[in-house]
Amino acid sequence: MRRSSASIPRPAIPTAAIANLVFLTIVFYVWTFHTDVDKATVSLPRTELRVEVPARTAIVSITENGQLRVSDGESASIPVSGPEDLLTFASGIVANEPDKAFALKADAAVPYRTVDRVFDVLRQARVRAVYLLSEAELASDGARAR
Amino acid sequence: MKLRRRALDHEIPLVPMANLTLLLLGFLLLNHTFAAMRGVDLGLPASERVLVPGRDAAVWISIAPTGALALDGSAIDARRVLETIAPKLAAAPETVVVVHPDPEAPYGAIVSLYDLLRRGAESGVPVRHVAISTGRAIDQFWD
Repeated sequence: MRRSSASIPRPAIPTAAIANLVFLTIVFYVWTFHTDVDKATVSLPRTELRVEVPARTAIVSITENGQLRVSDGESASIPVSGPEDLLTFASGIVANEPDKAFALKADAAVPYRTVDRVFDVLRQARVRAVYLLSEAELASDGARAR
Repeated sequence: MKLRRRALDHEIPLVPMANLTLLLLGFLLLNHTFAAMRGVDLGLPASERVLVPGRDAAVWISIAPTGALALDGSAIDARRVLETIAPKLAAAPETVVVVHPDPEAPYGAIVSLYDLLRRGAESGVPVRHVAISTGRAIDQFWD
């Protein structure tokens, strides 16, 4: 008996299922999407105690050569020329949000003199909470250092 | 002339949409930050008042430009700091531990010492007050 050609299913890859999965994945990413607002490359100090920094925390970064960059936590970081600019920036943020936290993203090799100046400026701007960003120190790292 | 009616395709074309969604997925994957920022918390003083604890009421740990530590003027290894200050803290739990870095001391050494002191309670040596001295004097406290 000869079967009619109409009953033979056309070969096709079912893309609808993939599209569904991809769409759900995109929804997940859009929902949880946030990027690094500060792209400055620094070698962070290592600590075992590490608390999570709140989202949209303002960032002050100090590179190894002492360059300062600032971000309000929502827009990309911009370089600032010195403590005066940093004070203007921090004061402006605190004026709008008095409880805004700041994160210090400083290179581990930066001399304390530079960090001290940043602390002093943030204190003048009435910043209350500062997080010192760090990388996780593994127990084996600590043992080796000792 | 008799025109032949072309049958309409009854399927929604998903391939272009799949291409676009894959490109979008690629963009989101490349720009997505999975790990939240983490670090050590620090409180800045609200007042202009400069806090300078007396030499006897505090433990002073200085950090040299090389990152080497000295406790009340004597060189000390980082792993011995807690056990050395433990008797003093046991006698007076409110003793302030002052971290006094040299202006040229590396920031990493200061954060490491601060981390060590903050984690003192895990080793049975709770350090209730840590201060980092600044150019103005001692500018930071936490409980």
